[in-house]
Amino acid sequence: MFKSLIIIMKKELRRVFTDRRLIITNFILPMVSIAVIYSIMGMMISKTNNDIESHVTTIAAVNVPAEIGALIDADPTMVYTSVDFSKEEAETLLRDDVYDFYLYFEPDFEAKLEAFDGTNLPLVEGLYSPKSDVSIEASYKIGSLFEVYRNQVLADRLGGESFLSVFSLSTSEIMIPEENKGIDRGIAYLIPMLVSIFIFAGAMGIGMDSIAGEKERGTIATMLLTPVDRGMIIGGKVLSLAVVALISTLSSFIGVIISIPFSANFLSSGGSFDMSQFALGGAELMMFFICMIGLVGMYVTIISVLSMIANSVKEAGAYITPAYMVVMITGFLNMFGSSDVSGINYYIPVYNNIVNMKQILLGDGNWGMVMISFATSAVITLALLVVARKLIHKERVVFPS
Amino acid sequence: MIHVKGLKKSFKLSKKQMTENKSKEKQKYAVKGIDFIVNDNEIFGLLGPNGAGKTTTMRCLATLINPTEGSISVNGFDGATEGEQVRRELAFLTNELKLDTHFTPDYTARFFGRLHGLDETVIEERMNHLFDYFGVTPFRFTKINDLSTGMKQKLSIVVSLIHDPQVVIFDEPTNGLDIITARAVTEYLKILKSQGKTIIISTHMMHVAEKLCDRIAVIMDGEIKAMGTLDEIYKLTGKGNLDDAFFNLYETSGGQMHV
Repeated sequence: MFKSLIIIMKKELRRVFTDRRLIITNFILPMVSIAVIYSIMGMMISKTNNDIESHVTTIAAVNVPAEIGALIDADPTMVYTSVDFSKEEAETLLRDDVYDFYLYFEPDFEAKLEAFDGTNLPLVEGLYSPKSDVSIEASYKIGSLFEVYRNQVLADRLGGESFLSVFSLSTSEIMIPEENKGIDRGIAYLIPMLVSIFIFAGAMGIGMDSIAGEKERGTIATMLLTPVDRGMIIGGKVLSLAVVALISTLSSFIGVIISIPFSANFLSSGGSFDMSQFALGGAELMMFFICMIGLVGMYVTIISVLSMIANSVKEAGAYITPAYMVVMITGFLNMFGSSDVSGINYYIPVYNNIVNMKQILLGDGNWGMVMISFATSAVITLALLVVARKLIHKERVVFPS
Repeated sequence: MIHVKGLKKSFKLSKKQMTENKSKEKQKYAVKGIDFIVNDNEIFGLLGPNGAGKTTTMRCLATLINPTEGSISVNGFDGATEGEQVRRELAFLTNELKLDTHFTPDYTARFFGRLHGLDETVIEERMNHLFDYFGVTPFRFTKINDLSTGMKQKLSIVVSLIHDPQVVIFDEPTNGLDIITARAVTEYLKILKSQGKTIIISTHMMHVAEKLCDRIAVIMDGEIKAMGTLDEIYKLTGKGNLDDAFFNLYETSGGQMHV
């Protein structure tokens, strides 16, 4: 009985792996496009960051006190010009990117500072353009500069820098065992979402063609004339689809890895991206793989059921696209949620697998939770397989016209 | 041997189909209760205009669809409860069944042989015999997509016969074939008959039916209007050839010719 399932699975895989067009669109193109897109995005972000870092901030300043002028002069990334613009004129010049920042000190700023009695604060005003990255960066720089200046003034008032310190605060990281360190948090949040989306996307195209396409072309009916149980036919197709989805996911991930030299900054949300941290232990890898299998099972059966209902590849696409949206939303939800999830969430299909993958990457993988997720996935997968088996026995589904 | 008893088949109509048919009936009977027996070593012809119920009857025989009422027995196996055994016993060929054009004839025939549970050596023997007879051998490793229409039809016949079935049901087997290929197909049906097989064919070509069929059933509007040997049909209609006999039955059953 299962021999026919294997025969059908082999035929489906042969169909995919001997068709150059399918190999290119399902395995090579995702890998290449992901590598190229992520690399370009990473390079663009790096270039923008480098441009901002190397840019010399130009400040238009009115009534600059000598001490502040000296602080600016001491910083090679900033330069100021003494001007006598009004705020309105300065706004125009900032909008036109002539200056990055406008700094206004009231005329008797230094005198007020000197005679400060706790009530009459001397006024400084700053303007920057929120539309310009370098102007925003200039506002941060000015903020830091004034922090230094504030400390100088306070030290003078109190009689020395040592009086600026009120107490000694010491915070330290606790020791985490090497095997529980996990990887960068940004990556740990991103990878489960990518895995989920890659699995669905990998199975989608082939799944539609293998079931709805075969119905449309009349080739599935020829198989129904053999003594093979119809359930085995759909089972063979689902199994082959699972293999294709896994290989396609792997190929997409190779694309991500190829892009890492250029996209590390973007992938880790500005954090460090140490490739050596990818080394997960055997148990973690096994848990991660089980979560992936859970997702593969659900996704390929969802795609199979929807393709079975559809009368054409086009119709299948219309049915499957909303499911793809749900998969993407679930992945995004995980990215914005807390890493600590309450027990009930471990029973939500799809989401539980994604959360588990994240926990595993963060070094907090838990066999119990992984098995609960796998069990819920297995129940959903089996239920969908039963639905698919029922559908292939329905005349109106197999022969709609 | 095939035994069909009180076969009825109805299809649910969609709202669109009900509007098109100008009918309030929610279902339509394609076959309205037919009975016939086809013996071993016999070629039985099903004749009738388009939409008469020929293909539906054959699809029921092949267990692709289930009868609404009545029973079908193929070599003693019940079509409703022993579908798997029925499909082991028969070959079914119809235009709506296609082969995946990505594969070669060699792989396709092997694949279907395996699904029928045949050993590789048996598949090889059957394949060589059928490929040689139908002239597929030179194209054995050519993609089906690159074959001519006639060659595709011949390959479909090969695939349907790969498991050497006892019962052969061919729906318009010579449709779209050139005269040489059509002759090869009809000659092979004769060979199958000489081997004691049970054969049903449907065709619109009266001369093919006259040459091949031992008995004929004329189906119109889901009912058998006449059944018997050629002589019996001629006698019943008072005509001397199948063409005239067919039109006589068509007109007496309320059909009209439109030119």
